[in-house]
Amino acid sequence: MQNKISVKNLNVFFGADHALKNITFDVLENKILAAIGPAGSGKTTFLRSLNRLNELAPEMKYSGEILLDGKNIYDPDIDTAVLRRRIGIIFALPLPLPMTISENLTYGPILAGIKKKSELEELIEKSLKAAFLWDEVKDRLNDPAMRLSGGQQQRLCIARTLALKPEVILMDEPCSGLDPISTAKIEEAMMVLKKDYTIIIVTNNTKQAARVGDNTAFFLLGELIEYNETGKIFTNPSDKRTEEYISGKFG
Amino acid sequence: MFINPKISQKIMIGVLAVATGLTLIVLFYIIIFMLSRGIPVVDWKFLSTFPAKMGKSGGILPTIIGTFVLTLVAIIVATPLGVGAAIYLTEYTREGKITKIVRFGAECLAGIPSIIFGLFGFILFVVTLKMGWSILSGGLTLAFMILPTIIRTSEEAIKTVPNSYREVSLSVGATKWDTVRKVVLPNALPGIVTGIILGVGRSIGETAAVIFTAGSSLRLPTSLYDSVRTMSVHFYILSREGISMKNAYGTAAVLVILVLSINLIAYWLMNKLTKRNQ
Repeated sequence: MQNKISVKNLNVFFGADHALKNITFDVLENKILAAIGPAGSGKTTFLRSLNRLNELAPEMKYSGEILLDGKNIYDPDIDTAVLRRRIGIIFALPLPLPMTISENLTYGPILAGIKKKSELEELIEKSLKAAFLWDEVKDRLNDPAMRLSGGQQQRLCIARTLALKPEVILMDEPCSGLDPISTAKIEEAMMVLKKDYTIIIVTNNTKQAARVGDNTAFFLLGELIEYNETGKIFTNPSDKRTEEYISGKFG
Repeated sequence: MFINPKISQKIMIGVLAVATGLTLIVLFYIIIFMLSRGIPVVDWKFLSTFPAKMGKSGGILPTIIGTFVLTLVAIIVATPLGVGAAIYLTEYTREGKITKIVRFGAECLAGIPSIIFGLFGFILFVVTLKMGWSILSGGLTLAFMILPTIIRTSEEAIKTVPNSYREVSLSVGATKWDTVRKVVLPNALPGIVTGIILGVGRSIGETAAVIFTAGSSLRLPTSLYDSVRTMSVHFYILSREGISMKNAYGTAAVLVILVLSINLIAYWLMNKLTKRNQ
């Protein structure tokens, strides 16, 4: 089993707010890591520091290292555009860009330099199939993406990330706005996707973590409290706070 | 003194309705006044022939062309400057002292009387830069005058583009400039176009700034260094010097219709642009 990402002594501050406190752990390749914890626990901040989206907040400061295949992603020679293609993200709300379905999918790849029409068409079909959306939209690829239902939009967002051919996929509560059927479809897609990708999912729903996570990390008030195999976390947690959280005593 | 809340409610609604009604009446009165006196004069010959005897008879063709080219120069110069400044202020600087000062400066620029712009343009372009009374001097002066409007409306339009679009764009490997170019600007376009149209409207109607900088020649211009007379200047000269009130009203009617149709086109365009992606 190989480490895809190694986080070393990561601290993140937003102004005076110490959002992540000395986080150290490894993310395994081709596994699903579920990050759980109550609101404000730093799990989303953790996710967004992996593809450097936290930098969009001007008052953000950090220390520590995040190694992707052994190379620190905060090194000055790292091109964030390239990094964000390697580490794609899916946001909590379905956020298609106000373009057509196919334009949403080709937006990133075209900027990455793919120009051939045949190649782009293949990319559209492949990524939509991988996100279990192809059959529903194949006849209306030139419709505005905003016309899709919420669940379809979120799968389009997954397809959009897949079209970048990433190595790691970050998911920030991807099912929080979706109904159970749409959620099941996305979880189904995740189980297939982990064969080719490393997935990190942040979720408020501990049951979802138990269903999809190979490993689970529990965050509380900016600290990583416990990190282990999902089975172990849910049946025999070593920290009392983890047990209290997953059994629903707080959160 | 105590007034029953129900009655005071009714009185206030009445006052507000009267305020609205008065505004509309004034607007329609101006339009009807102008059109009823001007329309009878306007026919194809009026629009397509040169003035004779300083405008006492004949048409207004050169003033239509003068208005058109002057506005065109102003828009061509002011749009890239204004939109560029708006992008810089909203996307590339953090909200702080400097942006506040720049914005305050732009606001002040908007409040300067147009005759001062005229004087400034006269001294800078006509005299110092030796451009003479010309399309170029007039166009550049108008450009400075409408710049604040374009900056302001473009800024507002850019700010209405949801931040999440920017985040999504960056997250799929777009650079900042890609994001501005491909996501922010297309979505801000309706607002930006509105700003430009407002600028067009202001340019078309401007008199004081133009009379100082573009002159009042009735010849057809052949280069940017030729002087032109706009419709509003023509109207001013015809009525001020008592040459022909009849033709002055005719010119005014054409001007009013032009401004109205520009506004209608702007509305139509805005609707079309906003609906495209929904």
